[in-house]
Amino acid sequence: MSSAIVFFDAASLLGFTIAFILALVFRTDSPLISPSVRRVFAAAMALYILVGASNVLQHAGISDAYDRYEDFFEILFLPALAWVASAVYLNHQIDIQRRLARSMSAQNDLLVSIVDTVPGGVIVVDPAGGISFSNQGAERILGLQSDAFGSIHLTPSWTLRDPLSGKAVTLSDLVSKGEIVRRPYIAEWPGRQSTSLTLSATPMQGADGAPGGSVIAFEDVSRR
Amino acid sequence: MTVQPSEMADLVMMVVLGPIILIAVRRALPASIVPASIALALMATGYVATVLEGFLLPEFFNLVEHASYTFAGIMFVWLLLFLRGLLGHGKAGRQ
Repeated sequence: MSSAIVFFDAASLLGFTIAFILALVFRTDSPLISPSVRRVFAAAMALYILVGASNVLQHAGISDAYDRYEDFFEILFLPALAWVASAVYLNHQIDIQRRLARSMSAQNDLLVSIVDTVPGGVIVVDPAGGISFSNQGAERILGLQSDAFGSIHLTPSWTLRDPLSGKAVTLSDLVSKGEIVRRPYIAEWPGRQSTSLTLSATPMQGADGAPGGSVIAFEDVSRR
Repeated sequence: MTVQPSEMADLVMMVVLGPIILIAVRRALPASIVPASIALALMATGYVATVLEGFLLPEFFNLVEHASYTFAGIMFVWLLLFLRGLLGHGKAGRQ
C-alpha cells in the first residue's frame, strides 16, 4: 500500500509539474487567457508540486519535515483557481463588449457613408434645436460648418421662413411639434440669395420615451 | 479518528468555490467544461477521502486521496493541452 502511495505521489508531482510548465509556456492570441491568468494558474499548479514533493519525501521515508507546510499550500489552491476562473470570465465579458462596440462603430461608419452619398441634406436636430449631425449635402445647402472637434454649428444669420405665413421658424419649433412635417420652407441669409427647401422632419424618441429631436431631410428646389 | 481543520476547510472551499469556478468556465470557455469538471471532481474526491480517512478505512481512503490528486494533475495537463488546441498557440508561441 505504501509503495502505491509513493507511486501516486511521484506521478502527481510529475503531472502538476507538466501542468505548471504548460501554463507558463502557454501562448495564445485569445484575450481570455491573459498573462496574469497564466501566471496565477501556474502558481496554483506549483502549490501541488510542493504538496507532491512533500508527500514523496514523507512516504518514501526520506523526510517528513515539509509535511506541516502541506496544509498551507493546499488551502491556497482553490482560491487561486477561483481567481483564474473569474478573471477568464471577466476577460470574456470585456471581449464581448469590445466586439459589440467595434461592430456598432462599423455600422455607424457605414450609415454615415450612405447618408453622405445622398445629394439632399440630412440633419439630426436635438430637442433643444441644436444640430448634432449633418451630411455633406446639408453642409453644402445650408452652409453648415464643423469646428475643429467635428461638432457642427449653424452660421449665425441663417433663418428658416414659412413661405405661406411669412413667419420665421427655428429648428426648435420644428422639433417641438413632435410630429412628421412635410412642407416647403425658405432658408434666408442676409446679403445672399434665399434658398427654397422642401423639408421633411420626422421625430425621434429618446431612450426614456421622451422626445429625442428630429431627423430632417431637405432638398434645394430653388432652381426648379 | 480526527479531522484536521485545514482538511475540513479545503472541503468547504471546494463546496463553495467549485460550482463558482465551473459556472465561470462554462460561460467563458464552454468547450473546456469537461476536463475542468473532471479535474475539479478528482480534487473534490481527494478532499472527501482526506476527511473520511479520519473515520474509516484509513489506508484505503489515503490511497484514494493520493490517487485522486495524481489523476487531477493529469486532468489539468489535459485541460491545458485542450485549451492550447482550442485557442491556438498565439504569435509568441509560434516563434
